[in-house]
Amino acid sequence: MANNIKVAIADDHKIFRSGVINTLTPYENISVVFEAEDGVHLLQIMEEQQPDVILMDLKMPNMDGIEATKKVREKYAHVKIIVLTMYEDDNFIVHLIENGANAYLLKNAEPGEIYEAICTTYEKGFYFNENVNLALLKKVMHKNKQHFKPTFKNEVQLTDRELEVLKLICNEYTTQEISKEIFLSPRTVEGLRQKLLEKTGAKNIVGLVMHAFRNGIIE
Amino acid sequence: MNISEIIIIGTAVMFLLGILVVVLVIFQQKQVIQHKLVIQDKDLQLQKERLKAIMQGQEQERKRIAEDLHDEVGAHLSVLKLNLNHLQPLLKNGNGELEQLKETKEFTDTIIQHLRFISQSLHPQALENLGLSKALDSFCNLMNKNRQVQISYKDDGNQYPVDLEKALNIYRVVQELINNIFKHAQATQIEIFYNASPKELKIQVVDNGNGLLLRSLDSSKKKSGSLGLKNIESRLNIIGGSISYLPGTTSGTIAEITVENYQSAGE
Repeated sequence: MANNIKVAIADDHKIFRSGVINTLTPYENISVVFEAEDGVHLLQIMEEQQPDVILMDLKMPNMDGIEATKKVREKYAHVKIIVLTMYEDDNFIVHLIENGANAYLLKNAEPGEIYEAICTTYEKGFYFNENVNLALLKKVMHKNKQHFKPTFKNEVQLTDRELEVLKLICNEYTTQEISKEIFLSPRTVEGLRQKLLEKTGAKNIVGLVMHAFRNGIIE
Repeated sequence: MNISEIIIIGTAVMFLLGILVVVLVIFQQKQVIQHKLVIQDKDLQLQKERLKAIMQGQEQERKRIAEDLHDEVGAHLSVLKLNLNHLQPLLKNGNGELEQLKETKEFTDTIIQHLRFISQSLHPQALENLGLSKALDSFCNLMNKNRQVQISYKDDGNQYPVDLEKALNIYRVVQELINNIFKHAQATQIEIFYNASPKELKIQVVDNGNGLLLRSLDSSKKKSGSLGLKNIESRLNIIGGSISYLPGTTSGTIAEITVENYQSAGE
Protein backbone atom coordinates (compact mmCIF):
# COMPACT_ATOMS: atom_id res chain seq x y z
CA MET A 1 0.00 0.00 0.00
CA ALA A 2 1.32 3.39 -0.97
CA ASN A 3 1.85 5.56 2.07
CA ASN A 4 0.81 9.09 2.59
CA ILE A 5 -0.94 10.14 -0.56
CA LYS A 6 -1.53 13.88 -0.53
CA VAL A 7 -5.08 14.68 -1.59
CA ALA A 8 -6.69 18.03 -2.41
CA ILE A 9 -10.42 18.72 -2.76
CA ALA A 10 -11.87 21.30 -5.12
CA ASP A 11 -15.60 21.79 -4.52
CA ASP A 12 -17.72 24.87 -3.93
CA HIS A 13 -19.80 23.22 -1.21
CA LYS A 14 -18.08 23.35 2.15
CA ILE A 15 -20.43 20.77 3.58
CA PHE A 16 -19.48 18.32 0.86
CA ARG A 17 -15.77 18.99 1.35
CA SER A 18 -16.10 18.25 5.08
CA GLY A 19 -18.11 15.14 4.27
CA VAL A 20 -15.33 13.82 2.05
CA ILE A 21 -12.65 14.68 4.59
CA ASN A 22 -14.56 12.82 7.30
CA THR A 23 -14.89 9.89 4.96
CA LEU A 24 -11.17 9.79 4.23
CA THR A 25 -10.00 10.29 7.83
CA PRO A 26 -10.02 6.58 8.78
CA TYR A 27 -7.61 5.76 5.93
CA GLU A 28 -4.18 6.33 7.36
CA ASN A 29 -2.25 6.42 4.12
CA ILE A 30 -4.23 9.41 2.89
CA SER A 31 -3.97 12.99 4.10
CA VAL A 32 -6.06 15.84 2.79
CA VAL A 33 -3.57 18.67 2.35
CA PHE A 34 -5.89 21.46 1.24
CA GLU A 35 -9.38 22.44 0.07
CA ALA A 36 -10.22 24.84 -2.77
CA GLU A 37 -13.54 26.55 -3.44
CA ASP A 38 -13.23 26.69 -7.21
CA GLY A 39 -10.80 26.24 -10.09
CA VAL A 40 -9.16 29.63 -9.67
CA HIS A 41 -8.58 29.00 -5.97
CA LEU A 42 -7.18 25.54 -6.72
CA LEU A 43 -4.63 26.83 -9.22
CA GLN A 44 -3.67 29.60 -6.83
CA ILE A 45 -2.84 27.16 -4.04
CA MET A 46 -1.07 24.84 -6.46
CA GLU A 47 1.48 27.55 -7.20
CA GLU A 48 2.70 26.90 -3.67
CA GLN A 49 2.11 23.20 -3.16
CA GLN A 50 0.99 20.30 -5.29
CA PRO A 51 -1.01 17.33 -4.09
CA ASP A 52 -0.66 13.85 -5.54
CA VAL A 53 -4.36 13.52 -6.27
CA ILE A 54 -7.13 16.11 -6.73
CA LEU A 55 -10.78 15.35 -6.12
CA MET A 56 -12.41 17.70 -8.60
CA ASP A 57 -16.02 18.85 -8.70
CA LEU A 58 -17.27 19.88 -12.15
CA LYS A 59 -19.79 22.62 -11.44
CA MET A 60 -18.01 25.45 -9.65
CA PRO A 61 -18.18 29.25 -9.90
CA ASN A 62 -15.38 31.33 -11.43
CA MET A 63 -13.61 28.39 -13.03
CA ASP A 64 -15.40 25.08 -13.40
CA GLY A 65 -13.85 21.64 -13.09
CA ILE A 66 -13.59 21.09 -16.84
CA GLU A 67 -11.45 24.18 -17.29
CA ALA A 68 -9.46 23.46 -14.13
CA THR A 69 -8.74 19.89 -15.27
CA LYS A 70 -7.29 21.18 -18.55
CA LYS A 71 -5.19 23.77 -16.74
CA VAL A 72 -3.86 21.34 -14.14
CA ARG A 73 -3.05 18.81 -16.84
CA GLU A 74 -1.15 21.45 -18.81
CA LYS A 75 0.89 22.71 -15.89
CA TYR A 76 1.29 19.72 -13.59
CA ALA A 77 1.47 16.55 -15.66
CA HIS A 78 2.18 14.33 -12.65
CA VAL A 79 -0.82 15.36 -10.54
CA LYS A 80 -3.70 12.91 -10.81
CA ILE A 81 -7.25 14.16 -11.16
CA ILE A 82 -10.33 12.31 -9.97
CA VAL A 83 -13.55 13.94 -11.09
CA LEU A 84 -16.13 13.74 -8.31
CA THR A 85 -19.43 15.07 -9.58
CA MET A 86 -23.21 14.83 -9.59
CA TYR A 87 -23.27 14.60 -13.39
CA GLU A 88 -23.97 11.09 -14.57
CA ASP A 89 -23.48 11.54 -18.28
CA ASP A 90 -21.38 9.47 -20.69
CA ASN A 91 -20.53 12.52 -22.74
CA PHE A 92 -19.12 14.29 -19.69
CA ILE A 93 -17.10 11.20 -18.79
CA VAL A 94 -15.52 10.94 -22.24
CA HIS A 95 -14.89 14.67 -22.44
CA LEU A 96 -13.16 14.80 -19.06
CA ILE A 97 -11.05 11.69 -19.63
CA GLU A 98 -10.02 13.07 -23.02
CA ASN A 99 -8.99 16.29 -21.34
CA GLY A 100 -6.78 14.64 -18.78
CA ALA A 101 -8.90 13.33 -15.91
CA ASN A 102 -7.61 10.03 -14.49
CA ALA A 103 -10.89 8.86 -12.98
CA TYR A 104 -14.56 9.84 -12.95
CA LEU A 105 -16.70 9.16 -9.89
CA LEU A 106 -20.21 10.14 -8.89
CA LYS A 107 -20.68 12.01 -5.64
CA ASN A 108 -22.87 9.27 -4.27
CA ALA A 109 -20.15 6.68 -4.78
CA GLU A 110 -19.34 4.41 -1.83
CA PRO A 111 -16.47 5.64 0.39
CA GLY A 112 -14.61 2.44 -0.41
CA GLU A 113 -14.68 3.32 -4.06
CA ILE A 114 -13.41 6.85 -3.49
CA TYR A 115 -10.55 5.40 -1.46
CA GLU A 116 -9.79 2.76 -4.09
CA ALA A 117 -9.83 5.39 -6.83
CA ILE A 118 -7.33 7.55 -4.95
CA CYS A 119 -4.93 4.66 -4.37
CA THR A 120 -5.26 3.26 -7.88
CA THR A 121 -4.79 6.56 -9.71
CA TYR A 122 -1.80 7.26 -7.48
CA GLU A 123 -0.20 3.90 -8.22
CA LYS A 124 -1.29 3.08 -11.75
CA GLY A 125 -2.12 6.46 -13.21
CA PHE A 126 -5.82 5.87 -13.71
CA TYR A 127 -8.91 4.22 -12.26
CA PHE A 128 -11.76 3.33 -14.57
CA ASN A 129 -14.92 1.93 -13.06
CA GLU A 130 -17.72 0.32 -15.02
CA ASN A 131 -19.36 3.67 -15.85
CA VAL A 132 -16.18 5.01 -17.41
CA ASN A 133 -15.43 1.79 -19.27
CA LEU A 134 -18.90 1.69 -20.78
CA ALA A 135 -18.80 5.36 -21.79
CA LEU A 136 -15.40 4.95 -23.46
CA LEU A 137 -16.40 1.75 -25.17
CA LYS A 138 -19.52 3.40 -26.55
CA LYS A 139 -17.44 6.28 -27.83
CA VAL A 140 -15.00 3.96 -29.58
CA MET A 141 -17.79 1.92 -31.17
CA HIS A 142 -19.53 5.07 -32.27
CA LYS A 143 -16.35 6.45 -33.79
CA ASN A 144 -15.73 3.30 -35.75
CA LYS A 145 -19.08 3.63 -37.48
CA GLN A 146 -18.28 6.96 -39.06
CA HIS A 147 -15.38 8.52 -40.89
CA PHE A 148 -13.33 9.63 -37.93
CA LYS A 149 -12.13 13.11 -37.22
CA PRO A 150 -8.44 13.86 -37.64
CA THR A 151 -7.92 14.15 -33.89
CA PHE A 152 -4.75 12.15 -34.16
CA LYS A 153 -2.02 12.35 -36.73
CA ASN A 154 -2.69 9.77 -39.39
CA GLU A 155 -0.04 7.43 -40.70
CA VAL A 156 1.71 6.90 -37.40
CA GLN A 157 4.65 4.55 -37.84
CA LEU A 158 5.27 2.48 -34.72
CA THR A 159 8.23 0.20 -34.17
CA ASP A 160 7.65 -3.44 -33.22
CA ARG A 161 8.68 -2.70 -29.64
CA GLU A 162 6.26 0.20 -29.39
CA LEU A 163 3.46 -1.90 -30.87
CA GLU A 164 4.17 -4.62 -28.34
CA VAL A 165 4.02 -2.14 -25.47
CA LEU A 166 0.85 -0.55 -26.85
CA LYS A 167 -0.87 -3.94 -26.99
CA LEU A 168 0.14 -4.69 -23.41
CA ILE A 169 -1.10 -1.29 -22.25
CA CYS A 170 -4.44 -2.03 -23.89
CA ASN A 171 -4.52 -5.29 -21.96
CA GLU A 172 -4.27 -3.32 -18.71
CA TYR A 173 -0.65 -4.21 -17.97
CA THR A 174 1.13 -1.87 -15.58
CA THR A 175 4.59 -0.55 -16.34
CA GLN A 176 6.07 -3.14 -13.96
CA GLU A 177 4.22 -5.99 -15.61
CA ILE A 178 5.19 -4.85 -19.08
CA SER A 179 8.85 -4.65 -18.10
CA LYS A 180 8.70 -8.25 -16.81
CA GLU A 181 6.85 -9.42 -19.92
CA ILE A 182 9.27 -8.03 -22.50
CA PHE A 183 12.47 -8.05 -20.41
CA LEU A 184 13.13 -4.30 -20.37
CA SER A 185 13.70 -2.04 -17.40
CA PRO A 186 10.65 -0.11 -16.14
CA ARG A 187 12.44 3.07 -17.08
CA THR A 188 12.73 1.96 -20.73
CA VAL A 189 9.08 0.95 -20.73
CA GLU A 190 8.18 4.36 -19.36
CA GLY A 191 10.23 5.90 -22.19
CA LEU A 192 8.44 3.78 -24.79
CA ARG A 193 5.10 4.80 -23.33
CA GLN A 194 6.13 8.44 -23.60
CA LYS A 195 7.25 7.85 -27.18
CA LEU A 196 3.88 6.32 -27.99
CA LEU A 197 2.07 9.35 -26.61
CA GLU A 198 4.24 11.64 -28.71
CA LYS A 199 3.88 9.64 -31.91
CA THR A 200 0.14 9.18 -31.73
CA GLY A 201 -0.51 12.70 -30.47
CA ALA A 202 -2.58 11.26 -27.62
CA LYS A 203 -2.80 13.15 -24.35
CA ASN A 204 -3.09 10.15 -22.08
CA ILE A 205 -3.56 6.41 -21.88
CA VAL A 206 -7.14 6.62 -23.07
CA GLY A 207 -6.02 8.40 -26.21
CA LEU A 208 -3.52 5.61 -26.79
CA VAL A 209 -6.14 2.90 -26.33
CA MET A 210 -8.46 4.72 -28.72
CA HIS A 211 -5.69 5.02 -31.24
CA ALA A 212 -5.12 1.29 -30.99
CA PHE A 213 -8.83 0.65 -31.50
CA ARG A 214 -9.16 2.94 -34.47
CA ASN A 215 -6.16 1.59 -36.24
CA GLY A 216 -7.06 -2.01 -35.67
CA ILE A 217 -4.04 -2.71 -33.47
CA ILE A 218 -6.41 -4.37 -31.03
CA GLU A 219 -9.96 -5.58 -31.40
CA MET B 1 -68.22 80.64 -77.88
CA ASN B 2 -71.53 78.92 -78.17
CA ILE B 3 -73.44 77.04 -75.58
CA SER B 4 -72.54 73.59 -76.88
CA GLU B 5 -68.83 74.30 -76.60
CA ILE B 6 -69.29 75.50 -73.03
CA ILE B 7 -71.22 72.35 -72.20
CA ILE B 8 -68.50 70.13 -73.75
CA ILE B 9 -65.68 71.93 -71.96
CA GLY B 10 -67.70 71.97 -68.72
CA THR B 11 -68.39 68.25 -69.00
CA ALA B 12 -64.74 67.54 -69.72
CA VAL B 13 -63.64 69.55 -66.69
CA MET B 14 -66.22 67.88 -64.50
CA PHE B 15 -65.10 64.49 -65.85
CA LEU B 16 -61.46 65.22 -65.11
CA LEU B 17 -62.37 66.45 -61.65
CA GLY B 18 -64.37 63.27 -61.14
CA ILE B 19 -61.39 61.14 -62.13
CA LEU B 20 -59.16 63.17 -59.84
CA VAL B 21 -61.51 62.59 -56.94
CA VAL B 22 -61.62 58.84 -57.65
CA VAL B 23 -57.84 58.69 -57.93
CA LEU B 24 -57.44 60.62 -54.68
CA VAL B 25 -59.87 58.34 -52.89
CA ILE B 26 -58.10 55.21 -54.15
CA PHE B 27 -54.73 56.66 -53.21
CA GLN B 28 -55.92 57.49 -49.76
CA GLN B 29 -57.47 54.08 -49.31
CA LYS B 30 -54.20 52.49 -50.31
CA GLN B 31 -52.36 54.54 -47.74
CA VAL B 32 -54.80 53.51 -45.08
CA ILE B 33 -54.32 49.88 -45.98
CA GLN B 34 -50.59 50.26 -46.03
CA HIS B 35 -50.69 51.94 -42.68
CA LYS B 36 -52.78 49.13 -41.31
CA LEU B 37 -50.32 46.63 -42.71
CA VAL B 38 -47.44 48.42 -41.04
CA ILE B 39 -49.29 48.39 -37.75
CA GLN B 40 -50.09 44.71 -38.20
CA ASP B 41 -46.46 44.01 -38.98
CA LYS B 42 -45.39 45.84 -35.88
CA ASP B 43 -47.98 43.97 -33.89
CA LEU B 44 -46.68 40.68 -35.21
CA GLN B 45 -43.13 41.70 -34.48
CA LEU B 46 -44.15 42.75 -31.01
CA GLN B 47 -45.95 39.47 -30.47
CA LYS B 48 -42.92 37.55 -31.64
CA GLU B 49 -40.69 39.50 -29.31
CA ARG B 50 -43.07 39.03 -26.44
CA LEU B 51 -43.17 35.29 -27.10
CA LYS B 52 -39.41 35.23 -27.26
CA ALA B 53 -39.16 37.10 -23.98
CA ILE B 54 -41.62 34.74 -22.31
CA MET B 55 -39.73 31.72 -23.55
CA GLN B 56 -36.41 33.16 -22.49
CA GLY B 57 -37.80 33.90 -19.06
CA GLN B 58 -39.14 30.39 -18.84
CA GLU B 59 -35.78 28.92 -19.83
CA GLN B 60 -33.95 31.05 -17.28
CA GLU B 61 -36.30 29.96 -14.56
CA ARG B 62 -35.94 26.32 -15.55
CA LYS B 63 -32.17 26.63 -15.54
CA ARG B 64 -32.19 28.20 -12.11
CA ILE B 65 -34.43 25.50 -10.65
CA ALA B 66 -32.42 22.75 -12.34
CA GLU B 67 -29.16 24.11 -10.99
CA ASP B 68 -30.51 24.66 -7.49
CA LEU B 69 -31.84 21.13 -7.41
CA HIS B 70 -28.76 19.59 -8.90
CA ASP B 71 -26.09 21.58 -7.11
CA GLU B 72 -27.62 22.44 -3.75
CA VAL B 73 -30.00 19.61 -3.03
CA GLY B 74 -27.67 17.19 -4.82
CA ALA B 75 -24.66 18.19 -2.75
CA HIS B 76 -26.62 17.79 0.47
CA LEU B 77 -27.97 14.40 -0.54
CA SER B 78 -24.44 13.28 -1.33
CA VAL B 79 -23.34 14.36 2.13
CA LEU B 80 -26.33 12.51 3.58
CA LYS B 81 -25.11 9.39 1.83
CA LEU B 82 -21.56 9.89 3.15
CA ASN B 83 -22.90 10.39 6.68
CA LEU B 84 -24.98 7.23 6.43
CA ASN B 85 -21.75 5.43 5.65
CA HIS B 86 -20.20 6.76 8.83
CA LEU B 87 -23.02 5.10 10.76
CA GLN B 88 -22.12 1.67 9.49
CA PRO B 89 -19.27 0.83 11.90
CA LEU B 90 -21.25 2.25 14.85
CA LEU B 91 -24.26 0.03 14.38
CA LYS B 92 -24.95 -3.02 16.51
CA ASN B 93 -25.67 -6.09 14.53
CA GLY B 94 -28.43 -8.56 15.15
CA ASN B 95 -31.72 -6.71 14.87
CA GLY B 96 -31.48 -5.90 11.20
CA GLU B 97 -29.82 -2.52 11.73
CA LEU B 98 -27.32 -3.05 8.93
CA GLU B 99 -30.04 -4.12 6.52
CA GLN B 100 -32.04 -1.07 7.46
CA LEU B 101 -29.03 1.14 6.83
CA LYS B 102 -28.37 -0.50 3.47
CA GLU B 103 -31.96 0.10 2.47
CA THR B 104 -31.74 3.74 3.52
CA LYS B 105 -28.56 4.19 1.47
CA GLU B 106 -30.19 2.65 -1.58
CA PHE B 107 -33.17 4.86 -1.04
CA THR B 108 -30.90 7.92 -0.99
CA ASP B 109 -29.35 6.78 -4.26
CA THR B 110 -32.81 6.47 -5.78
CA ILE B 111 -33.65 10.03 -4.74
CA ILE B 112 -30.39 11.27 -6.27
CA GLN B 113 -31.21 9.39 -9.46
CA HIS B 114 -34.64 11.04 -9.62
CA LEU B 115 -33.05 14.39 -8.93
CA ARG B 116 -30.65 13.93 -11.84
CA PHE B 117 -33.49 13.02 -14.17
CA ILE B 118 -35.65 15.98 -13.16
CA SER B 119 -32.78 18.42 -13.31
CA GLN B 120 -31.55 17.25 -16.70
CA SER B 121 -35.07 17.35 -18.13
CA LEU B 122 -35.48 20.88 -16.85
CA HIS B 123 -32.22 22.10 -18.26
CA PRO B 124 -29.51 20.24 -20.18
CA GLN B 125 -26.19 21.15 -18.58
CA ALA B 126 -24.32 19.37 -21.38
CA LEU B 127 -25.56 22.01 -23.83
CA GLU B 128 -23.32 24.72 -22.43
CA ASN B 129 -20.29 22.56 -21.84
CA LEU B 130 -20.32 20.08 -24.69
CA GLY B 131 -22.54 21.57 -27.41
CA LEU B 132 -25.84 20.65 -29.03
CA SER B 133 -24.89 17.32 -30.56
CA LYS B 134 -23.50 15.87 -27.33
CA ALA B 135 -26.44 17.28 -25.36
CA LEU B 136 -28.90 15.53 -27.69
CA ASP B 137 -26.93 12.30 -27.31
CA SER B 138 -27.08 12.66 -23.52
CA PHE B 139 -30.80 13.34 -23.75
CA CYS B 140 -31.27 10.07 -25.67
CA ASN B 141 -29.20 8.18 -23.08
CA LEU B 142 -31.37 9.60 -20.33
CA MET B 143 -34.59 8.70 -22.11
CA ASN B 144 -33.33 5.19 -22.85
CA LYS B 145 -32.72 4.66 -19.15
CA ASN B 146 -36.26 5.63 -18.27
CA ARG B 147 -38.46 4.49 -21.14
CA GLN B 148 -39.43 1.46 -23.13
CA VAL B 149 -38.86 3.09 -26.50
CA GLN B 150 -35.35 2.77 -27.91
CA ILE B 151 -33.84 6.00 -29.19
CA SER B 152 -30.65 5.83 -31.19
CA TYR B 153 -28.62 8.90 -31.95
CA LYS B 154 -26.16 9.41 -34.80
CA ASP B 155 -24.25 12.52 -35.71
CA ASP B 156 -22.01 13.15 -38.70
CA GLY B 157 -19.07 14.07 -36.48
CA ASN B 158 -19.17 17.71 -37.55
CA GLN B 159 -18.91 19.87 -34.48
CA TYR B 160 -19.64 23.34 -35.77
CA PRO B 161 -20.44 25.51 -32.76
CA VAL B 162 -24.17 26.21 -32.49
CA ASP B 163 -25.41 29.55 -31.16
CA LEU B 164 -26.47 28.82 -27.58
CA GLU B 165 -29.96 30.30 -27.79
CA LYS B 166 -30.66 28.50 -31.06
CA ALA B 167 -29.20 25.30 -29.64
CA LEU B 168 -31.52 25.44 -26.64
CA ASN B 169 -34.55 26.00 -28.89
CA ILE B 170 -33.54 23.15 -31.20
CA TYR B 171 -33.00 20.92 -28.17
CA ARG B 172 -36.49 21.75 -26.91
CA VAL B 173 -37.99 21.07 -30.34
CA VAL B 174 -36.42 17.60 -30.43
CA GLN B 175 -37.55 17.01 -26.83
CA GLU B 176 -41.10 18.04 -27.74
CA LEU B 177 -41.09 15.86 -30.86
CA ILE B 178 -39.98 12.84 -28.83
CA ASN B 179 -42.70 13.56 -26.23
CA ASN B 180 -45.28 13.68 -29.01
CA ILE B 181 -44.03 10.44 -30.47
CA PHE B 182 -44.28 8.83 -27.01
CA LYS B 183 -47.80 10.13 -26.59
CA HIS B 184 -49.32 9.54 -30.00
CA ALA B 185 -47.20 7.48 -32.34
CA GLN B 186 -46.95 4.13 -30.47
CA ALA B 187 -43.46 3.71 -31.83
CA THR B 188 -40.95 1.17 -30.52
CA GLN B 189 -37.92 2.76 -32.12
CA ILE B 190 -36.80 6.29 -32.75
CA GLU B 191 -33.73 7.34 -34.68
CA ILE B 192 -32.22 10.82 -34.61
CA PHE B 193 -29.75 11.95 -37.28
CA TYR B 194 -27.70 15.08 -36.78
CA ASN B 195 -26.25 16.59 -39.94
CA ALA B 196 -24.32 19.83 -39.99
CA SER B 197 -22.85 21.75 -42.88
CA PRO B 198 -21.34 25.20 -42.39
CA LYS B 199 -24.55 26.80 -43.66
CA GLU B 200 -27.29 24.53 -42.50
CA LEU B 201 -28.17 22.22 -39.66
CA LYS B 202 -30.54 19.34 -40.34
CA ILE B 203 -31.93 17.05 -37.69
CA GLN B 204 -34.13 14.13 -38.63
CA VAL B 205 -36.31 12.37 -36.12
CA VAL B 206 -37.55 9.10 -37.53
CA ASP B 207 -40.02 6.86 -35.74
CA ASN B 208 -41.52 3.49 -36.67
CA GLY B 209 -44.94 4.22 -35.19
CA ASN B 210 -48.40 4.65 -36.66
CA GLY B 211 -47.77 7.90 -38.51
CA LEU B 212 -50.26 9.83 -36.39
CA LEU B 213 -47.81 12.68 -36.07
CA LEU B 214 -48.72 13.69 -39.61
CA ARG B 215 -52.38 14.00 -38.75
CA SER B 216 -51.62 15.90 -35.56
CA LEU B 217 -49.65 18.35 -37.65
CA ASP B 218 -52.64 18.93 -39.92
CA SER B 219 -54.93 19.58 -36.99
CA SER B 220 -52.37 21.82 -35.33
CA LYS B 221 -52.53 23.96 -38.44
CA LYS B 222 -56.30 24.08 -38.04
CA LYS B 223 -55.64 25.30 -34.50
CA SER B 224 -57.15 22.25 -32.82
CA GLY B 225 -53.80 20.53 -32.57
CA SER B 226 -51.71 19.76 -29.55
CA LEU B 227 -49.97 22.51 -27.67
CA GLY B 228 -46.66 20.71 -28.09
CA LEU B 229 -46.65 20.83 -31.86
CA LYS B 230 -47.64 24.49 -31.81
CA ASN B 231 -44.78 25.05 -29.43
CA ILE B 232 -42.45 23.48 -31.97
CA GLU B 233 -43.69 25.83 -34.68
CA SER B 234 -43.28 28.95 -32.57
CA ARG B 235 -39.84 27.99 -31.30
CA LEU B 236 -38.60 27.38 -34.83
CA ASN B 237 -40.27 30.59 -35.93
CA ILE B 238 -38.22 32.51 -33.38
CA ILE B 239 -34.87 31.14 -34.53
CA GLY B 240 -35.76 31.15 -38.24
CA GLY B 241 -35.94 27.40 -38.64
CA SER B 242 -38.51 25.13 -40.22
CA ILE B 243 -39.89 21.64 -39.81
CA SER B 244 -41.44 19.27 -42.30
CA TYR B 245 -43.10 15.91 -41.79
CA LEU B 246 -43.06 13.04 -44.24
CA PRO B 247 -44.46 9.54 -44.00
CA GLY B 248 -41.73 7.01 -43.23
CA THR B 249 -40.65 4.44 -45.81
CA THR B 250 -42.49 1.53 -44.20
CA SER B 251 -44.31 3.08 -41.27
CA GLY B 252 -44.12 6.01 -38.91
CA THR B 253 -43.07 9.55 -39.61
CA ILE B 254 -39.91 11.37 -40.60
CA ALA B 255 -39.71 14.82 -39.06
CA GLU B 256 -36.98 17.03 -40.43
CA ILE B 257 -35.83 20.17 -38.68
CA THR B 258 -33.80 22.63 -40.70
CA VAL B 259 -32.05 25.70 -39.32
CA GLU B 260 -29.90 27.99 -41.40
CA ASN B 261 -27.25 30.36 -40.03
CA TYR B 262 -27.15 28.39 -36.84
CA GLN B 263 -23.52 28.95 -35.91
CA SER B 264 -22.56 31.25 -33.09
CA ALA B 265 -21.19 34.57 -34.23
CA GLY B 266 -17.53 35.31 -33.84
CA GLU B 267 -16.33 31.73 -34.21
